[in-house]
Amino acid sequence: MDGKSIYEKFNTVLRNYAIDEIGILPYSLPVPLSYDDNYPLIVDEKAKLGIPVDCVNKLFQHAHGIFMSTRRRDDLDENKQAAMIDEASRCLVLINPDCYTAVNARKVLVSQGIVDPSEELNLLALIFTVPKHSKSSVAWYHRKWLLQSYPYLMEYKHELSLAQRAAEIYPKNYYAWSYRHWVVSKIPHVSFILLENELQNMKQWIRMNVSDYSGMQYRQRCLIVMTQRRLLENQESRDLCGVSRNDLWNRRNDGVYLPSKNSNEIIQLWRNEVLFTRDLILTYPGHEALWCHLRFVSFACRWYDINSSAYEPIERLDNNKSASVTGTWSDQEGEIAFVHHCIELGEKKRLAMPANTTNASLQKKYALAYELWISELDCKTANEMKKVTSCLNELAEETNYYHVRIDNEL
Amino acid sequence: MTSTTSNALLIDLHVKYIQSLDEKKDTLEYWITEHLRLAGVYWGLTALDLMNHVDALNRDDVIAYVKSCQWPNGGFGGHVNHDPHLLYTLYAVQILLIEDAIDAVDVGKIVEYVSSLQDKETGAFKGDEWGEIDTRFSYSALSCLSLLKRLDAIDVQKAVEFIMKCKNFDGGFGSSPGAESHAGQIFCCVGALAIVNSLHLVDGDLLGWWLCERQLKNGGLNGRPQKLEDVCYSWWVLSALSILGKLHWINKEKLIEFVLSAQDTEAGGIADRPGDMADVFHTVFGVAGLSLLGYPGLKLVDPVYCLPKHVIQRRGLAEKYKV
Repeated sequence: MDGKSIYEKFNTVLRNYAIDEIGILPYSLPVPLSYDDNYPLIVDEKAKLGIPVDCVNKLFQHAHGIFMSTRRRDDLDENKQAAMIDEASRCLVLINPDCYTAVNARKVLVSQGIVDPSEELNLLALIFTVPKHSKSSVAWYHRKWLLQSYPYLMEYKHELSLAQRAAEIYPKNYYAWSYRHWVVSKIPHVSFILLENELQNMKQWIRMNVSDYSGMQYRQRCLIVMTQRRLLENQESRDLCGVSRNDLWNRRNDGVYLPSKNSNEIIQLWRNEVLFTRDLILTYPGHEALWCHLRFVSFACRWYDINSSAYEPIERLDNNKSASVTGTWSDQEGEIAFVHHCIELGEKKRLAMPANTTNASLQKKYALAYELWISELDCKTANEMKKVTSCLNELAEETNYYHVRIDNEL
Repeated sequence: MTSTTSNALLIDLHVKYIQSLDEKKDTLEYWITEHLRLAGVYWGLTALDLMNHVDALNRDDVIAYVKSCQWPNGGFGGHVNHDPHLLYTLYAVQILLIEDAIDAVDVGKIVEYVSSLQDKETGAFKGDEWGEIDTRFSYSALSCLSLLKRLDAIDVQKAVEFIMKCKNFDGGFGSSPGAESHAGQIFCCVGALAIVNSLHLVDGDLLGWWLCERQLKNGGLNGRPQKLEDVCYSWWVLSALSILGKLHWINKEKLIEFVLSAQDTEAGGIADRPGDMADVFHTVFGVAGLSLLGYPGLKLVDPVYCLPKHVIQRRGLAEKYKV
């Protein structure tokens, strides 16, 4: 069948059915099995549209031809022209949302009131049912643009679950998670419960996706937003954007501590995060993502001055504001003790199951790298870190990094 | 796609592969990538120049094609009839500099277009008139204006301030403030900071370590924790390390081996990893990575501008990184 006929079928299907899922099929039916208006397209359950792979090229080329030629014409009735661009660009973005020129054309149609912005959000939701499309930065920005231009269309729960679905059909989906950050940052103060639900929800999600650091990084953003809201402030330094180790070092002697009456809740929030992360690390050994998350949590605890008195009653905390944060943390909270505990457990497993030592070796490498990471954060001397570094040099033969460190220290 | 591997860079095969790209007009791949064809020409031409075959594409055709993508506002689209965008504007400038033909277009208009995209308040750059913000666009703007020697047209200090807001606790950078560190964005941010002499703002030791942690057992590099290795990170990770003067921190031999193993030994080109389909994107970043690694027979690449070093020298631009 030629491109024009397939294109017409395609538009008819989208007009006649409420399609909620779209997919490219690796096969095609040589002839329709019975009388089928939609042939060669396949509509299942009146809502799932399948496009045989050998139709995609013809369909795309035809839509492309119409789109490019119609855009340039000035002899058409305006409404007719807009309708043709609408159909053609819709076809292009459904097959290839990275085709930014087609997406731009749709922004124009929305701006002109020709395309309803809420219908456009539905179109994007349909696009995101294709795994590959769910990581299209162009498509995610289109959604953000719509909600920025028509803020009354924002339904937080819907947006959060849409982003979650995208992150599930395409793991470690950078743009879906970035989008979700943005949605969370827009949640109004009065809807605090949404943020609390989101944190709870992410806890469960991370348990099921222990190798997906993008999801953990998103949880980090939620924790930060939560901390800021508890502090009832919007201080930039509290959002941790632009903050890294040098900034912590530079700030170290300032003696900044949590000024809010909600300190205890914040301390609890972060303390629970330490426990949550350590628990996962022990349950699922050898996952780099979890260790990276623990690095972050250790960093944030130092940045927010959540000191060891977190374990003690609030009265004590209030009287003890001037206590050095980082000085007591590593001893009493047992960051290093935790590292050693992980390594010991790995050794025991190694002895019990000598055939399967991969996870134990990885766990040891990540545990030691974490130890080195926080030791540097706490300004330990090269001599104090020497043993860890040389151990890492033996374990991490894929990199020269530890070797160079040892050389530099000699 | 082929199962045999080669322990040498198959230059002749890759040249033929790049030349053949414009002949595949019947494939879906050709149409799906149409909107970024100008980027494809930049990737292909850079790879060819690094492999000492810049003439494999006809110079006049290339220049005429680039010109056909420019809009009256000065910006370039990814192909004829595609809307102007900052990304493609940089690619156009890069291609014209390789061909030593920047005067073929209206440079003043390009400067006008690029500077119009800076957000006065935050210093960030929009990709186009529709307003998407991303550190990729900060890099595109700074690189483009630096290559045109017109950094005076924007607020450099503000641009730097925005990039620094995108720094994370691990020393890396993301696409926007608070976004996850990502090796591609790190190249953009470190490169942009290098261009405006602001590398002192980078937490170099911490970031260098994070970048080294991207190397996996098979020698390849990934772009984020616990992701698969991918040849293109031979560029994004390596160029950032090179700019920071820490190239020797990774295992070069294993990385060279990995890149070479991702070559298509029959049809040419390099894939994201061994066994996958080759494409021009992974071909240039594989070749550019090998150039940084000192692979013999290749021209040197500039880690900041991702252009052959001789082009940067011809332009009279100082080297923006530590050796």
